[in-house]
Amino acid sequence: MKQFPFSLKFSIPTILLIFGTVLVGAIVQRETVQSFRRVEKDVSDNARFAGDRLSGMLEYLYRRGDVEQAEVAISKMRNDVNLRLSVLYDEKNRVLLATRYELRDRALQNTPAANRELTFTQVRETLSGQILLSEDKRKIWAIYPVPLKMVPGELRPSRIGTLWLEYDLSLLKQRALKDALQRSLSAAVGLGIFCIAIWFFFEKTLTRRAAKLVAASHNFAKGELSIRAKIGGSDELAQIAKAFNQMAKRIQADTETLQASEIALKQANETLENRVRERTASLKEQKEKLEQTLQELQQAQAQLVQQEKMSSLGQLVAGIAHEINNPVNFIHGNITHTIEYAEDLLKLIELYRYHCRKYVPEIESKIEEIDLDFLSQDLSKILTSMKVGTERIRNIVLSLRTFSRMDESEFKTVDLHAGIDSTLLILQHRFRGNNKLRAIEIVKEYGMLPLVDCFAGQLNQVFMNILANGIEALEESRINPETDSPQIRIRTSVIDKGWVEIAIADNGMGIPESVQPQIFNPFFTTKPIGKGTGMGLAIAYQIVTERHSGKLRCCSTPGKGTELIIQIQIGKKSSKIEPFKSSTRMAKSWDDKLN
Amino acid sequence: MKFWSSLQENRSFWSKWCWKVRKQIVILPFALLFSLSLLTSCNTAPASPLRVAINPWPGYETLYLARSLGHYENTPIELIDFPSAAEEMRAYRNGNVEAMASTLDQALTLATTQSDVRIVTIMDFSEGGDVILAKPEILNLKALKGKRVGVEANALGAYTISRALELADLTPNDIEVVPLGLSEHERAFKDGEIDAVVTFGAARTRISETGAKQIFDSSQIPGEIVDTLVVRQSVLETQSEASQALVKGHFEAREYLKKHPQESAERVAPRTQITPEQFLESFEGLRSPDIQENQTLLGGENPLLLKTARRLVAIMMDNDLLSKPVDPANLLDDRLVKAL
Repeated sequence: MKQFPFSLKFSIPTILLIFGTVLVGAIVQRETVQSFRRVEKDVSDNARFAGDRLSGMLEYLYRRGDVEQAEVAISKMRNDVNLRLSVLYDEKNRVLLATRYELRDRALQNTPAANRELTFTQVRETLSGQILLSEDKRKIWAIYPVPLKMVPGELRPSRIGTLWLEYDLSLLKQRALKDALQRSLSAAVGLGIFCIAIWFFFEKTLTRRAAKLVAASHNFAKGELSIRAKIGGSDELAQIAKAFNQMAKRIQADTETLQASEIALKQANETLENRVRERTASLKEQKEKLEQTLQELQQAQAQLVQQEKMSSLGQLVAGIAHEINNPVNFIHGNITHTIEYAEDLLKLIELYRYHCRKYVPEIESKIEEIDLDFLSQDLSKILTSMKVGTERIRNIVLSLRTFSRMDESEFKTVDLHAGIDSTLLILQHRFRGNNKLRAIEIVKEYGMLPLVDCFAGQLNQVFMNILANGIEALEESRINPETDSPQIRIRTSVIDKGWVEIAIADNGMGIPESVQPQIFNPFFTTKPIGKGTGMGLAIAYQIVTERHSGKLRCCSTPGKGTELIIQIQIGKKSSKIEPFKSSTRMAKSWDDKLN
Repeated sequence: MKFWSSLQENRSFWSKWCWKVRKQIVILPFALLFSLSLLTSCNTAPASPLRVAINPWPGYETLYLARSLGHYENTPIELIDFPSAAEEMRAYRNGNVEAMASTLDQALTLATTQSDVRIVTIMDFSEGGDVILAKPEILNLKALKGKRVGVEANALGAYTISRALELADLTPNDIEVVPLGLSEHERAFKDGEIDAVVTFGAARTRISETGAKQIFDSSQIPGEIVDTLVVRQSVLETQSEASQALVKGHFEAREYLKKHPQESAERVAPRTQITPEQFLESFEGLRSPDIQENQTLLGGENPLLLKTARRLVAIMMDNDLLSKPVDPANLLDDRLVKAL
């Protein structure tokens, strides 16, 4: 069998029990059967002997005509306890003699041998006896031929009677059964003891030791690697135990090694992961740094470009301003004198006219020609307007100069209003209207601002950028006459202690809400490509928040307008280092030149 | 306590000893098994016997001589004396014997009811051994009319008397048949129960001594009374060795008798209470065929005996001695004499 599913502890005694029971049963049965067979055989032999002898005797007696002796002979058969009935029939199957006298003279049919007529016939024919066993095996019959007295004239007896003996087996069989059972009982007891002995033997040598081995295996399988099977002897179980122990030892050693290497591996893994993480983090950091650096670089580039632009613009402006300044100055200076001289001359003429009332026709025609009255009025007007003009030129130059001070690294204490004004002046042409565009109204609401420590030029750039944005924002409303008139309002005030606020607002189209968070992003622009750098507000933001540690905020209502609010600390000595040292140096030199 | 500790010690000693001899211990069960098988083989039942029924005809004494000479030692052959041929036949019919020394007519009678009758040897031809002895007043066979004649019914006697009566133109109705076994002949004659008796052998000798006259003997019907050895067919097959030994012993004894008649007579005569001289004399009344003649009689395409046997059957049928016809060819079996 492939699998033996039962535990030895139970299977061995069970098998022994079953085996014992079966064997005992078989023994009992065999004993019984055998003893019955023996009884049957013994009685059959008995019957054969008795039948043979008695029939011979009866034949002899009948041959001699000694019927009395025949009767005696047959009655002697009563000596055998088991021989229940002896009957002698004649040739016509009528009872001649019987141990039971009432059967005498009866026909065969009325006797216990009734159903044996056929056997009687056979026996007569063959002249040999037969021993029959009844169907229920309780009776044995001996049927023998008995040649009777010869009829005169014959040499061979034709009259043949039959001797019928009936043996009862019940008593014998009962005794035999009892004996058999007794024998079987003793055999069974012996067998039982033997089985128990075997069971003990197996228990000692097999079951217990096997159970030990099983327990050791279980515990080992559960994980107690130090378990060893302690089984002595040199039979197969001991060999298994020895092999098991060796195996266990090896497994234990291997497991420990494995565990150690696992731990080492885990550690190595962790270390590796840590390293990887670190590396990744550092890489990320680097990446971020690089990105930031890139952005900064880009910003810086844009800023640099812008600054370079502004610087070159500043250079240009400074140059122009410088060149214009000198001639304008002496024109402006000379005009004041000219006005003075003109007034003096007119006054003199007036005096001459008052005092010399002579009519000189040349003088009178000249006076008419030149329209002296008109001339005298007009002259002062002209000169005044020339003065205004030069003043204006001087203002412009001043603004230009103010404006070109953007790259100054010096942290100066300046008047912010001047810077705003100068910026406005520069953008003046853009505020003007023409037949297409309405003019932009500039509303100034200046508060009482003290002088502020700042990078003046940079702040001017901020104003410039914001105002430029405002102008562009108002482009729509300048075209459309139905909207409110375009207006830029500049409001300055002092807020809190040490902070000033400059708010530049326009009533343009406003900034959509989705866009609002992005306006200070570098390179962010809503203008078509090529139209703007998108750096204006970004630079402004950088200048205000980083350079000046200030705040730049935007409030916008789409459709209504936009306001940009700059807040700067009043007094603060900046410790920030200007990154563009080259421009600074250059600007410084230009500033020197301008001054 | 001490007992247990000593037991423990013993146990450990035993276990150590067992350990040492464990290899040898393995042999134990095999040794046991081997000895058991030896015992059982030694204890086998002895070979079944070959019982031979013999009645006191001188021609059969060769078998006793063979036994006396030791030819039947180490064989299961048992020679059983029977007082008369009728008893022999009864014993044969009832299965009590395996072989029988019997006359041919008896064998034929047996063959009507038993199918296993086989004639394996012709022991002798009765030529004067079977006689009818009568009181001195009865001078010849014819004088038997109305007389009481002792006959061994169921046996050869019936044949002899019917043939004798035939020769004397008499029938069995003319005489009073008194059935007597061979052993009863002497007493019955001496007591005067019978007037004549069909007899042979020792009884003949002793009755003759009383002065009875011999009015008939088998020499008047030569070749009709044949003495044979009958063996059951089943026995021929299952106990062929013993059967062979039986027949061989007869022929060897026959030779011995020829060579040493006196000694042989001295060996066997006492058994039937006759003197050696009387024994040898009784041997005069028979002719015993040797092996070659036996082979001719029993074997070949046309066994010689067949004619005699068929004639015997016819005679017996006529005289109501056979209940149904028998073909003697089935009965003759020459395998044993052929092997000698």
